Amino acid sequence: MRIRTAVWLAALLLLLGVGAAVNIPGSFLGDGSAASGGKAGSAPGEFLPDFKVKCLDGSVFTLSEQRGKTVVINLWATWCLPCVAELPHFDRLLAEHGDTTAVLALHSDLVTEDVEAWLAGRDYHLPFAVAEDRVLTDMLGGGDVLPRTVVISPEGEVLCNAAGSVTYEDLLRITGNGS
Amino acid sequence: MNGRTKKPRPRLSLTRRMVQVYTAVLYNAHVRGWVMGRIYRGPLKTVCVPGLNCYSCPAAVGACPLGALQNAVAASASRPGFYVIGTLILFGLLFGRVICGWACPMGLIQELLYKIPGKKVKKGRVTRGLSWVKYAVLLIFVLLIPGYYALRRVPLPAFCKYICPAGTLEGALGLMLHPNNGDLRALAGGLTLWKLGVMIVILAACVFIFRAFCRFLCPLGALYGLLARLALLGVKLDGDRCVDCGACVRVCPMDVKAVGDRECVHCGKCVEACGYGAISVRAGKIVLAGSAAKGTEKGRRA
Repeated sequence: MRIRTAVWLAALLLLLGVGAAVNIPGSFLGDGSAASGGKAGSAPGEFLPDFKVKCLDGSVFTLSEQRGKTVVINLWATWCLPCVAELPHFDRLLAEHGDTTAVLALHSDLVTEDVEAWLAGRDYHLPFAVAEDRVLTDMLGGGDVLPRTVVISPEGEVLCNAAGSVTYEDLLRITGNGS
Repeated sequence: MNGRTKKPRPRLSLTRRMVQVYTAVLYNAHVRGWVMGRIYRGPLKTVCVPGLNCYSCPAAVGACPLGALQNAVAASASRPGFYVIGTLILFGLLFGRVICGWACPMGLIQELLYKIPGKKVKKGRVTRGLSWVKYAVLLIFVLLIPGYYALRRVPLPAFCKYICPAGTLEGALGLMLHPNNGDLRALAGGLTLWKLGVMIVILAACVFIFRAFCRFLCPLGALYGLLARLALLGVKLDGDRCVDCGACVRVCPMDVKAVGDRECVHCGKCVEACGYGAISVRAGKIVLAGSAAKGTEKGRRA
């Protein structure tokens, strides 16, 4: 009986400990996500806070340095099939309209394989970056639902921020590059 | 006096129910996820829980072993999934399908659904035959399809995508029903409808058929079942005490042919039914429950 009681007591302590640790963002098991989701500034009509992120090719993408161009940010992941399927559209957008449009392909901080190795052998010319943590993807509107496309006007205003697949024609229309 | 006395609930089944509830709560301790409508992504999420519990459940604190296995297969073109495969083999060798009977939230949900009054389908040759389908599900949806697409460098966790009712119930509904997740709801389409339909059919079947998903479709149970005879912990038969009366197989709600085989989820009903003390819950040679002293001299084999 004593062993049984001790086991249940230990189990209860484990449950309370895990429960407390995972629910407190700053704790050693917390995931750092802000209570509000950290999305302020990411909705259409708002202005995203400036950010910079190091790309896999060594360059640094800074949002404020893209003023004057339409900025398209694609949140994607190697484990997300629709994301993988639509990457060529962003590659083509940059190739055909790079003079008026800046593009960033930002991989989710949830990495299940080497992104650089995954990209090797695939002929993309986009700037690719991998988010270090959830903070940047949360700021862009949330990286839990992928793919996500954020389009920002040359003046810095968010024009579109939506989850879901896009076609090349969608991108042309949203960025104003369509005929 | 003409009255019915309610049979006291055997201690083993009560303990098992308590462990089921405990593990379901432990696997889903991220209460904040329900409040915020988003999943937990802290360090614990890289650890697989032993039972079927969706990674995308807002409350989940660990990874789903099946989801992790499919993603490992999907990424196998670039690196082998040693961590996931090793974890699953370890779970299987230590606990086998004790996980199914004691530590799987989906198993608990199915058993609670079965308590809903209604006509109950008895097990037989047909259900025994259907128990092989889960091996086909394991082979095709967890291994072959993700593996084939991995060669084409395309991620496709087919069981998660097309079948898993735990994913639909915990992940899809858990996230989509939250007010904050309008962008997720906007993505709902044909595949969402398919998954909802599959989930409803499976959950409805569980009302009439004991553990219908577990017995016929769950690839995780199939996987652990392959290691059933090797597992350290579980319900075991003492051959010296057994008189082959068959009471254990008759009382078993699963499609077993023998105690502790690949279909046994170690619920312990046979422990309570055996009149010869031949069945007990053991960890190796240590008896945890069930009395080896229950048998009489008459019950021992010559």
